[in-house]
Amino acid sequence: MRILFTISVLFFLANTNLVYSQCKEFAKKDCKPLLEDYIHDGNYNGIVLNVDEDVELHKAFFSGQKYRLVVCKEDFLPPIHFKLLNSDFEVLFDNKDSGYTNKYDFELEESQTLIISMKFLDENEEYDKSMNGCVVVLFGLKI
Amino acid sequence: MRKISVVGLLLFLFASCSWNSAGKKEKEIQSENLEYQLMAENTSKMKKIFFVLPSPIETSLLINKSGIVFQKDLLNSTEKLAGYSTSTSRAIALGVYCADLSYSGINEQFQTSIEYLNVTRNLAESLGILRAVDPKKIKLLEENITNKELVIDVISEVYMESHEQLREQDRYLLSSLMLIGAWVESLYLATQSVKPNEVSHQILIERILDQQLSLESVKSVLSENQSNPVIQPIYKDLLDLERLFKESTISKNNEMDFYGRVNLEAFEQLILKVNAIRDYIVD
Repeated sequence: MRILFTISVLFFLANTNLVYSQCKEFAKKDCKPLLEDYIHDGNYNGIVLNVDEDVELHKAFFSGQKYRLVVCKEDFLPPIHFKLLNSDFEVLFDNKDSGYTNKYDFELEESQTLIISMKFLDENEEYDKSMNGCVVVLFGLKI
Repeated sequence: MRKISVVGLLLFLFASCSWNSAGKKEKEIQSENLEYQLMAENTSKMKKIFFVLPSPIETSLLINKSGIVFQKDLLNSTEKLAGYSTSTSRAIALGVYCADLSYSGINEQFQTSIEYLNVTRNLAESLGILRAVDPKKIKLLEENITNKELVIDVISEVYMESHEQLREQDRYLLSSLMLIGAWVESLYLATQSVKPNEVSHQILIERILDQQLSLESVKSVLSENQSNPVIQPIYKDLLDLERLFKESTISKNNEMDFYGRVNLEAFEQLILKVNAIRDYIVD
């Protein structure tokens, strides 16, 4: 019985890690090229996200540095609606206004913590609500 | 009991195999939709929130853009490598060496970068991190050792793979320690490079004080393990650091004179505190 239990736990963990690993490989192969001439900062922000879930990333951005934000998802998933907000929740950028683009270049006059708020576009009802997939956010730096 | 465990195993196998949503059979969809409905009430209003730390590449770039000259003697000596014998000390050291590697790479110290890249890879391997960098990329780097973008690309891969592989292996404490090691070392390199009374260093002082913004993320990374004997003293030091950051910043009004905005006495205390934390984590 102990062996059965151990096997089932190991199988579960291996499978979870496989999904995680696949998400990371997706980030490296499909998302990183979108940074183009911006250098990847080395932070990987990937998550397996359900269609009905919302995600927020909080990060400090510094003045004097040009950034590229890339929000990337697997092809079979609906488009992603993302916004960049300041700590007073004022919207600095909404990708809805740019045809749901998956990247945004910016530079701040003053260093501050910004919030990247993301969710799947919910205007299209044809997607299975139980669907999930890999979503990755990468930050690029201009050197 | 035996039957229960067999059923449990079968459920585990079923659950594990159904992660990919593409091409599911109708029954599976019905089952998952039912599961979804049951979970919906609890999860519909949940929002996942993540805090992102600045990477050592980003901090090194900020130091570099302030016009500060590279100082090799600030780096953590590679001779200390053999002294890191526990997994926690190795994880912290991995972060520290990643920061040193970034600082060298961004400042185009290519020979030093290669030396620290090798140390970082050895340390990563000793922690069970495999193929921290694609061997093809290493070969390409050896043929183009002065290609700054390639060097930084390799550094970003080492940092990402090391941190993520530790997380994939459920070694969350070690992955957190690695991030903290990198952040403290980056801050150490910046604070040791600055001369508070030099007018030309005012931009760097502001960039250092901006790191206060990252402290919230650093604290959130450590907060889950606050009671851990390794984390406890570091967390306490970070709270002292937070106080000194606040005391150093008199005002954030950019229209005011620099010396009206920054308390240099408190800033010098902050430099000493960063130095003490760094000494603690590398020795």
